[in-house]
Amino acid sequence: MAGVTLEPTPVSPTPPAPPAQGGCGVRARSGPWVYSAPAILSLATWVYVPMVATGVASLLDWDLITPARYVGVANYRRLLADHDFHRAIWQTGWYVLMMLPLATVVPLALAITLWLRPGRVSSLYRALLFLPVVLAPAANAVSWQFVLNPLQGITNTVLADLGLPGPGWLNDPSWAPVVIVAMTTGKIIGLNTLLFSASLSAIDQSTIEAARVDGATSWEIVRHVIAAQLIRPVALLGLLCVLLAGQWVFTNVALVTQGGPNGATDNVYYRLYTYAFTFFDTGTAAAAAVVITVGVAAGYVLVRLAIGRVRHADAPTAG
Amino acid sequence: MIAVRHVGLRPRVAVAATGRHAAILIVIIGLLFPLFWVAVTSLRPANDLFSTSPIPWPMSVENYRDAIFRFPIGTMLLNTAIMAIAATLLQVTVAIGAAYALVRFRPRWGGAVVLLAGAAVVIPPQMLIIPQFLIASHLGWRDTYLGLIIPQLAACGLPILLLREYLVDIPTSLLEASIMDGARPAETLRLVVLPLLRPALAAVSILVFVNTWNEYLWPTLIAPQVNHTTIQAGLQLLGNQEGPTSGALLAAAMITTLPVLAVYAIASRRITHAFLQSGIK
Amino acid sequence: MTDVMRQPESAARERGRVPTPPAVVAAAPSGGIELRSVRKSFGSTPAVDLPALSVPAGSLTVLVGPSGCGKSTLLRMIAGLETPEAGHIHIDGQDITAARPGERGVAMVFQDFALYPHMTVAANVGFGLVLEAKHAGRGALPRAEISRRVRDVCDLLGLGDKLGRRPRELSGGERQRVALARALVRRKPVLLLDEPLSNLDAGLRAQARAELIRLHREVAGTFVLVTHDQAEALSLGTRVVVLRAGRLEQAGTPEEIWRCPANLFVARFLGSPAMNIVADSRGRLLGWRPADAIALGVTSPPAAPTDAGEVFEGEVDVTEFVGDRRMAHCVGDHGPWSVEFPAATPVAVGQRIRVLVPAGSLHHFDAQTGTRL
Repeated sequence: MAGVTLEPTPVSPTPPAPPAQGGCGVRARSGPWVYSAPAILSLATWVYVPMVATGVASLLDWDLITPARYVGVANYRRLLADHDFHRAIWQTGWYVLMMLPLATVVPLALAITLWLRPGRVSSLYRALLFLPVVLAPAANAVSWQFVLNPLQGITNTVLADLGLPGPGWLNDPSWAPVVIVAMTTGKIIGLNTLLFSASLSAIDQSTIEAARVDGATSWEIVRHVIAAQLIRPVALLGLLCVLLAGQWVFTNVALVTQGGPNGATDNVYYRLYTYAFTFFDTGTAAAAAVVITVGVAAGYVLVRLAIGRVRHADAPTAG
Repeated sequence: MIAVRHVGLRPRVAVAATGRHAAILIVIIGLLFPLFWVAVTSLRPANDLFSTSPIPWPMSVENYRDAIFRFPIGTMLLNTAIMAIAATLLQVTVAIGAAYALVRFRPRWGGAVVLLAGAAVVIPPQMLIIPQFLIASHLGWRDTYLGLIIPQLAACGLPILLLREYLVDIPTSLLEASIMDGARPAETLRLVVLPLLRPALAAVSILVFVNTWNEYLWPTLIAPQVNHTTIQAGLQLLGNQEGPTSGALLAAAMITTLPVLAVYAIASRRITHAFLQSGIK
Repeated sequence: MTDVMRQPESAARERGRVPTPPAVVAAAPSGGIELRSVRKSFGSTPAVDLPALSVPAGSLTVLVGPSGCGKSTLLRMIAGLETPEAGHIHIDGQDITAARPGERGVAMVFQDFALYPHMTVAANVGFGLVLEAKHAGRGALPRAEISRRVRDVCDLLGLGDKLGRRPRELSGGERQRVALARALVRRKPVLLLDEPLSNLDAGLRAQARAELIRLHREVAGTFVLVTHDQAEALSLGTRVVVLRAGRLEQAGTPEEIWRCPANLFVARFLGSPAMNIVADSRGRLLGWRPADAIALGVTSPPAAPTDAGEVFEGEVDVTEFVGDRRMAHCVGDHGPWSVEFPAATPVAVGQRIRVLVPAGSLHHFDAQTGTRL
């Protein structure tokens, strides 16, 4: 509690009192430092120093063992010419395209359906829909791998019984990214259904009742009352969620396919991880980190600008 | 008016209602089927793993016995619990301090701290992971609890932002009243702020705990040994070692999931609420 | 204006004493406050700028003014919740400008009462004492003494049977009394009250006003109260300080301020309905209160003008019924003015009336500066 002790009272009429700090309390200049020091130190040590270090490392040729050598932008030049990195960028775009409807349309439809008919059953549905969000990704990965096992898994067994050919799923380059997205879907749908439900319950119930009294059907209510109020937050949230879902995709790729088969499930995050911890090419990995962060930041800003121009009161954002 | 519409149960309405239920159930089943199937399969005898019957009969706990005897599941669960609890306590404590400082003293640089905390939430972890790994390795923290726990402070941005939101909702006059009552800053925090913040602390702690419990990337890097790592990283090591169709692996996955399911069954409302609070700012 | 403020404090005594002083009565009134060239601004707008102001010990001083006049800032500077940019604040001769809020001999009642929602009434009231005991070290203030003092002050305020309740289980009036009890229990020489009545229902407010006056008499400390309500200021205060835009307009007893408003602002601010201000033929401004006018030729028997005064003539535009009185808003030759008659007086819209304002009830102001002549 340094800095809050009572100082001897000044007697001379001249010395002006310390400048106003706002807040409450007179003797409180070091107080805020004392209380926020752990947080500031934590963020500095584990976020901002590493961030700067990554920026510096992107200019070095460094394998963590031999001494680092300054190479300027050579890492960036190499990275941007790297065929694997190009492919990872395209794959990432493909992931985004696949996830976009799963982050917007599906959860919105679920949220509206649940909201139109509230009650016990809806609460149960909502709880079940949210469950994947809290489930551990490793157990989830084990489950999907088992169910989709190409030779003995239940999926292909059932398909065979129906006379359909069972694909190789995670071994099939065209199916593997789809499976990765499916594994990630649970979290996206669960979280966004919850957030959209919250936005819906914020809508004035009397508007809906008035519409019902006027004889509007559920569909008309959805179209005229809800869509108008919800379209922007949904678009914003969906896009932000896709940006953040990159982490979930990364985890599933690392757990299940390690980028394979033949790089089919690769993406920029996993590529970076490969540079760093498979090839121990720290410089290139750092350069990739900088490029990805700039890309994500640009995407974030673009989304904000696009939606923000017509921003509505409290659009929820994914956290 | 909802009840009124159901009373008649006109055929069209009934069909629509059935359709709605079916649609939702399809989504739920689609998302949870793999987990359900693994739960069923894990209870079959080891030589009958690929049965297509949805009922695990004859039932057997062979896979579970296998998993417990052959894998250090207990150790991994303990490691995960220690990491998650310690990291949660640490993050929330640090965040309380910062949030309190920001609201109680309103320092001029408060905006900068909020900005730094907010940016820390959205920076991709891959951007930071290499230097974090180097720092922790340099400190000799590989395969240690310290290494698993302390660097998770990188995620303290989110609890800072959330707790600040909650703290701002406490009327300023309450803080001022405690000051007039002669409370020192630490006493205001302990006797006035923390008791009022209890529900918020629960929500934020749940959120941080779930995130930390499910953390995968960091444990695989800093503690790659089966005996020192967490369940998330450990399951993958076991999967690599056993192959994806091992009954023991399925049982291990279920063992790691059961605590989460139990907690969720008891406190699903609380947990969803915690996530909701973090999503809406 | 400071000479007005240095008169001996007598109003508190005029209100009489209770026969048996309760336990919380302090020995002698203390808590005189002196402010010397205190200044404070928020950004570029000055909030408070006072060359000198003194609050006599034992007074119930009301700081009053329109919103944004700096009265709350001034109170918070005395409390120590805001720091003045310049100047000094003394309490009982001691410079407390830099002292911690808890250690400058003041207690405070907040506008929203600021009761700790998670504590019982007893814990709310005793919170400051418990902290005081803790800070002073063991044995300085025994637990039994704390609970006795809490009980005494709660009894004084009629909260004796509410000690175990939580704030949300109390009515608005009870909450206000808990806030008072919490401030009084510490026996500080100065009690600061920030709009303590504004959060009460209108019906409760009149009662609370009377209670506050009684309380001030019984504890014999210095009360400094902030309000934006001029009627409340006049009825509560033994001393009223009128502020505008951070500056002192006038300070004195309610009677002084009512009878001799120092300038146009004070004259207009006090009284409801407001004072009529009309330019006279000599370029000055004439002010009179609507109730001070005597109607000529309307009331029966017509009031005979016994002394000199001014006669105003105008046409009744609107009449208002206000209980035992009737207000007539008139359009006169020099602008609009209002008068108040007994309710039975027959005044009709459109009627021309003449009123006499006795010379003793007239206020003259300089048209340029607004100061009293």
